Amino acid sequence: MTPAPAVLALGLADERLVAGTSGVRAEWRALGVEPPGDGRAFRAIFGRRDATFRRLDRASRALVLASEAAGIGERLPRAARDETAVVVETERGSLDVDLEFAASLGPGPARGAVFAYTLPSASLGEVALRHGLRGPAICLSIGAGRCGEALHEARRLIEDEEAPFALAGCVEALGQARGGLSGALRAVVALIGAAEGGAAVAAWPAGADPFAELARRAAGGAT
Amino acid sequence: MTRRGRAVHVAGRGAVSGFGAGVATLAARVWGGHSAVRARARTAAFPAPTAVAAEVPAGWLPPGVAEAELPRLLARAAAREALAEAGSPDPGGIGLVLASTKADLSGVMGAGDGLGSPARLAARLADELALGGVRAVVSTACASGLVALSLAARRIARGEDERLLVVGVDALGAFVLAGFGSLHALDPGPCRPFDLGRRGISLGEGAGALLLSARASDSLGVAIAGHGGANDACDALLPDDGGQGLALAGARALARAGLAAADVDVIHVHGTGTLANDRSEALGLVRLFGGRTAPAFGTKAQTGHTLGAAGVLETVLAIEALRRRIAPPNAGLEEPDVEPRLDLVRDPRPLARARCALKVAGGFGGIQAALVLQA
Repeated sequence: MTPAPAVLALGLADERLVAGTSGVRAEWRALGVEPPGDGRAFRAIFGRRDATFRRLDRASRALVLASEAAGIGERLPRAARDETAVVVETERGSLDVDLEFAASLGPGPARGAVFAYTLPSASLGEVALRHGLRGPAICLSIGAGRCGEALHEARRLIEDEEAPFALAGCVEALGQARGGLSGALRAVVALIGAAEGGAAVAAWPAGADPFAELARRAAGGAT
Repeated sequence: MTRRGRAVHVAGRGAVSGFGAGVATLAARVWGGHSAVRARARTAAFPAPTAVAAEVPAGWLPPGVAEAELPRLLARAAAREALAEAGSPDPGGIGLVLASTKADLSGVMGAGDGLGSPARLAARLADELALGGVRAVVSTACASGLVALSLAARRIARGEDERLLVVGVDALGAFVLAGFGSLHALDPGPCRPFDLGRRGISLGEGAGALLLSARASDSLGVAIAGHGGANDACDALLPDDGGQGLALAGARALARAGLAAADVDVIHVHGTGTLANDRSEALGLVRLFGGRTAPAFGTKAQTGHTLGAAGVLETVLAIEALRRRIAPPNAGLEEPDVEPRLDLVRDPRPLARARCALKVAGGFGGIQAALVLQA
């Protein structure tokens, strides 16, 4: 009997720290950079040069960092990447970038490099690109109090054999409160797979915010 | 990986496009070879390096309607048509799956609280239509519509929902026009997908709606037999040069349907009109078919690229091709400039067999999606 989809690895990037089951636990301030960091922060945490990271918006940076903190590069079998899905949910979407792009509109040319990130799914694409994940890709726009949809959509994909593994994530990046939405910076990534030993996704209590619980566990360094 | 679970029937269809409201109007104009891509009127004041777009006709809109209201009005009209075709079932038992890229941008552009959040638009639409079922909202770039249909089909096949109304919607405004302009992705004139002279996309706006049902008694005679997704994972904006992601998505959709490429009778392509996308798509389809493809048609030269609405609106047209047993010609195509084994329809072509249609779509972030329809 195939094991139920379970959380196999976790990563978190928020205002305070980057942490996860890859063993990393780094506070931004200790690294001498402002959250969520710029290109320097990424290199400081993971010890490598990565020029492409600098082009990303804050949401993409946070989600990519969370995936690195989960240790996706090491934990996800290379042979499975062609089929691994990415499912991401977000309430604030690309609002920060939307506002930046809107503010730039005027008589001169608009900023194409910014427009590219005015899609809630942009961060999902960046994570798939970084890890070479070629399975189904789904970005969910969620309302207040509806957290966890990505986790359960990832479970469905695995149970239906559409993907052997899935990265389920949530990402919220908004610099200042706006329209009833609080300012936020948080990305959580969970590697989901049908394997023994993790926390079963189906058992997650309905109505709770599973990503908040996953964030707590990631910060504690446990699955 | 063959089809499992319950069948997913198409029970109702709705559309609003640059041709106006109604599936019948849309189909008649598309099969008649007409285009709704015209000189910009309502959006003429917005700076963009193109003279044209497929705007919803001014006569269809309430006088003085605010831009922020457009997505809701478009979505509501398409949704109501789909529900009416299905015999207006009890909305309390119907869930909503909404697809959009930018939804209502009020609060980003001018006053308001739409904030470009598809979830906010979905909440308003569900309340207005008194839909009592589950609510899910997909915002996966220009593949949103097909990803939403796939999500809905998955839930119905698994037995989680009986009826789901899938609505794709996006409206034109200064934000989107300037954005695509900034990417140098717009054709200054009407777009010409797959043509030697293609220079980019023509934007459009509209909404498509499909009511999906687990009940055979609801069926219009077409079912979603398979769905598949993939990611190119090669560039943030550009598609895979060789079309590998599209071929993967198509192969996964066919496998789920228990079908082979040879079973496909007609393809509704994504066909944006950009140099890179059309080339990649043609190569991907030829890769999927292992050679010459089934007859292929696209409709963005007629409806414009309606972004988050495109997947649903164009699935409505793929269903229409099966019902009419005729593939419409690719408008604007004079001298094909892609892989010649992609069988682009030049004149209305009767289909010897019309049992299976393949619909594909792609979006920024390398996202690819495919749907298999069976009559």
